[in-house]
Amino acid sequence: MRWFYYVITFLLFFVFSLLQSSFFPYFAIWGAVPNLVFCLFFTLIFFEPQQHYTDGFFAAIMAGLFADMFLPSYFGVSTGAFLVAYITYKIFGHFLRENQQKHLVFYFMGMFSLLFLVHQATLFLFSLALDFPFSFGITFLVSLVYGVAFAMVGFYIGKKIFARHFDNQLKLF
Amino acid sequence: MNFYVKKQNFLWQKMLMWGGAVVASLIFLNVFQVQARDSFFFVSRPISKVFIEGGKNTTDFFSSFFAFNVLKKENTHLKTENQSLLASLSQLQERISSWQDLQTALQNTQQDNFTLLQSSVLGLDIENDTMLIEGGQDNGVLENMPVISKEKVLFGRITKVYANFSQVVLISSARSALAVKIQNTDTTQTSIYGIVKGSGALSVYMDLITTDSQISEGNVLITSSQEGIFPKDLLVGKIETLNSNDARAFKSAKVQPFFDPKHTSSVFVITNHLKK
Repeated sequence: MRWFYYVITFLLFFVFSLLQSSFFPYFAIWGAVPNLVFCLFFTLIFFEPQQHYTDGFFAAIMAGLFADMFLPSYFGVSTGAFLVAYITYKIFGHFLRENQQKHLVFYFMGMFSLLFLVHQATLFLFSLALDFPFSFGITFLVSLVYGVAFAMVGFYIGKKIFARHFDNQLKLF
Repeated sequence: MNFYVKKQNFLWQKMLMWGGAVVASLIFLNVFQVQARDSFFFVSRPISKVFIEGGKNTTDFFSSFFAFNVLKKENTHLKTENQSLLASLSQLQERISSWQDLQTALQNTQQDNFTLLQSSVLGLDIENDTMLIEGGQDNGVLENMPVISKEKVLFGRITKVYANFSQVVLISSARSALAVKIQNTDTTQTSIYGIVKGSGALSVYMDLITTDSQISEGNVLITSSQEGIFPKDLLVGKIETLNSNDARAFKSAKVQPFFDPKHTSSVFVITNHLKK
């Protein structure tokens, strides 16, 4: 049944990338659109057990692949940015294991913001190196707030779906 | 210990294999990036279209919802503008209608050499059989000037003149009497004359018809000008029913008048035919 999870993940990334590029531009706030692909990616890796890597890598590659489709640059740029974000998450998650169990929602929001910053900063660096247009200004903050709002929805849905992995944390809420 | 090393090697092998596959895929995608993106957009186009339409519709809905106040103001403004335009349109239509009426009237009175003053009907008093029309002293209107319609149908005469308005007493007024004759196409026959009197409430009758006169229902009455107020050959009405009474020296008849003040908005004052 594991293959089913990957098919669903693939389809979700496909639909979310299309929603992000077709539907949500009509709801842009100061030019910022919620990064749904990143929200889905973060929700998936957040509920992945700390000692597991396969699903997280798969999510990063899928997220990167679909994000790359709309990026005016080489394939692999977004994939690289998502992998950097994923590795950062695993490193921070290793050291903040204690805190995440105490304040799960705030940990989720804080980690989302940090990884979003890392992801955007990596893309910005890639844009300088590979010379493709990428804005990293005030829109970043708006996009972050916008993204957090959507990620919170993902958080509560994820909590329901992946509850068994988070038994310890759920007991605290 | 040996087992652990083997497991470690196997994990590295697996990671290298997957990493290689990812890198190979990325290289492949970059080599064929135009085709890859083209295929992706081709597949996703129908779904994107649905999302785009959905986005448009949703944002339109919410825009109208949030812009309620603006829409309200705009609506009020448009309503006002619409009313103003309708008023202008009505004015234009009135002018066109008025111009058409004048053309018809001029055509109908071409042979009579009348000087006509076009006037709008401002009010109708059925109880007293009077009508208020536009145009008065300032427009050269004087008492006793005949008032007709564009079809050359007699309405009445001016009884009171104000600066910009005039009062018309209709031929249906009990105070009104005018000389008429039966319209006759056969010139060899003798003309039949009579008097049309008003009986109030927009109705008239014909009186003083000699008993030997050959008149019948449906005969058309026109002015004969014998009383000196109205010019001749203006349409008055047609005989509806004849009242014969042997005791009387003259016959009378109920007349269906041609004028219809209730549905007339424009009349003409003949300004060059005035009883001295």
